[in-house]
Amino acid sequence: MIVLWLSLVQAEENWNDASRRDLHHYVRSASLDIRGHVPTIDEILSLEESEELSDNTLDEWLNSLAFEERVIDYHKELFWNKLSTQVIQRRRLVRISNIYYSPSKRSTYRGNRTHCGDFEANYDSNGQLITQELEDGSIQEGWVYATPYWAPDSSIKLCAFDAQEADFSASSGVACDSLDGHKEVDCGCGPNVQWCFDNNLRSDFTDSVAKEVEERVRKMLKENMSYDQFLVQPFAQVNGPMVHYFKYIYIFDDKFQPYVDIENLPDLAYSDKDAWLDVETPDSAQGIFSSAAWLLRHQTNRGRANRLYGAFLCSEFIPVEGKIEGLTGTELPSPDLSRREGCVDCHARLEPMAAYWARWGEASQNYIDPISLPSYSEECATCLQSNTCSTNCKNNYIVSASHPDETPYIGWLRSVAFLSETERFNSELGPSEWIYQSMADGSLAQCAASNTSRWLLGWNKEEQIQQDVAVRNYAMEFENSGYSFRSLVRTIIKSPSYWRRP
Amino acid sequence: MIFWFIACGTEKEISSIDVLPQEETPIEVIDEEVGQSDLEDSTDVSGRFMKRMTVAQVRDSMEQITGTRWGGNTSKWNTYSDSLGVPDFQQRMEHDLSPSVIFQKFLNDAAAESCMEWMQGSSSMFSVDPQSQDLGDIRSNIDFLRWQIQGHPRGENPPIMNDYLALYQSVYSRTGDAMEGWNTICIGIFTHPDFWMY
Repeated sequence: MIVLWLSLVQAEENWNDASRRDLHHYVRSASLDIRGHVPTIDEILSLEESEELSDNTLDEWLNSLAFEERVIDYHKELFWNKLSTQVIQRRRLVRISNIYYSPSKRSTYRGNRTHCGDFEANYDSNGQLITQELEDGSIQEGWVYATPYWAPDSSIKLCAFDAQEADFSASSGVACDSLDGHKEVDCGCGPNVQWCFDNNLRSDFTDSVAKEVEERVRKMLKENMSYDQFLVQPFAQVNGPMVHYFKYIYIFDDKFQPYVDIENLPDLAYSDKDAWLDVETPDSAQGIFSSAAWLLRHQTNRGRANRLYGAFLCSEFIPVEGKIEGLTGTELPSPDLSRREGCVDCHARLEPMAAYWARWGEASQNYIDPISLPSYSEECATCLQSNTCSTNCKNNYIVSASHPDETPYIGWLRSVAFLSETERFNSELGPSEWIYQSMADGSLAQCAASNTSRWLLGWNKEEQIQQDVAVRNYAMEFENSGYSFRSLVRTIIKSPSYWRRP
Repeated sequence: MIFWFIACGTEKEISSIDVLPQEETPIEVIDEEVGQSDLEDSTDVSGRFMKRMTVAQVRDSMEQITGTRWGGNTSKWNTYSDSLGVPDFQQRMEHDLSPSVIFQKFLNDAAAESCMEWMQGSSSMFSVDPQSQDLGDIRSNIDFLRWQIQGHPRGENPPIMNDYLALYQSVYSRTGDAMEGWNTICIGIFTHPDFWMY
């Protein structure tokens, strides 16, 4: 037996042998990687005096706002959190001749596709809006000045019908801040135009939803949250535009389901775009992989699973060469991709992974409640026999078999079809379970170490395979630190590999 | 400190199944301390690969060094980010960190504008009298700029110093303007890979 004394030599010891040139380049690289810019003149002078990058300085850099931005940039490359989805169109205001109006309500208000006239609106002695009839039978009103919530220090010209502020329709009694209220002629945009939005600002909300991912990263660093908690802890943050949307706009959307507790939203003005506050989330929330940003960016369950598998577990689906090209298409292909020749190599693994999101809608961020939509519905299983299938059954369940492989799954929720009983269990657990399993088998830490070594050391996949021992050491240190991402970066920056040039 | 206990054995070769195995000779144990080593064997572990700065790193570093922003209030680095291969995470998912022609072109434009403004707006570009034509002074200021911009330790005297010196003298001899010479040197140091590779 040979006793080997091994110790992880700290960077300080390496400095004993490092040349002055190495030190300058080491510090410059560390500053660029941690803060995104080269050291200042004062920092270089201080470094030359001390002849080392002290732990205090390194920690100062690792606790800086600039480091937060760097880690946010790093995570943007993992999450791809950019949304191109539209907020609901029916409440948008556009401008003609600098007068705002609602395109979706002009027929309701004026009987034809007519914009209001370019004159100040008049009211009779009873306060009723005076309109003028046009040749085509439509009516037209003038505009009024309004103070919009998005620019409270200014006023805009707004068509008088759109500027109505009533809470309820006088004719029907319907609440103006409701989906039905949208159809009422005496319902407008409400006080301060709060129930409508400027079409030019339509990306404020979607950009905020996407940016929330970045604020989660910032929160992880500020609160020294462990990486696993950052991924799975069910919390959400909102800023000014999000608060406004949840308070006043989403109610006009028949498909949108708020994913925060709208009863307890913080008091933020629309202009508070950079103010982010925590809000309660419903019990169904499962952390970042069930956030609206993730679900709307990766719109299918397979896409969601594929991105998590690639970005956070560093794995990929690679079909066997020639298998897909070899498909003849002479037989009716099985709708079960985990059985279909050519597809099975990837989909046998992908389908159970995709099932983690079976309780979230595709192309949607809405949660599918298991009480209202159970995995199996006896009603939907038998409805075809009596030709009584409801829209719910047709939209969400397999009610008929187009292929023999589908027959055993009649009556099952489409998102869990073709899964075994064990695999189906994933749908009840959600994506957080996948993260917990990845922590248990070490793949989450290993991938975080791989990704971070690619970022800081520039190691590509081939190099990471060659440097497997080093990457495993980083992963081990990451786990031992309680999944502290800051510690992982610190470990790599202080490792011999970082200051050594290839 | 970590102790590793490694059991070593000799590979046993069996030439025939009829041969009874001989009793193994006990392995000699060496109980000596063999010293300290890195967990990462220094002979096998690769170092950090050189990387091209991202657009944001170039932008922020140039602004920090020169105290000026290319393009004024709105950085042109941001304006041209799509052309420079900055991901938008819709159409492009990864940074293009190649030293492409378009990167070099914009870097040259940025350096030209930033160096001029730096020179006009601040004395931090010079460690000597900028008008001095003393070769020692010129070399000293080139050294000073390499230190500020590229992060090289001062006092080095690599062969490229002679090239920078020749460049300065070439510009000065044609224009008779020392500041033209320093502007050219500044651009040259910013556009050299020693600035944007790290």
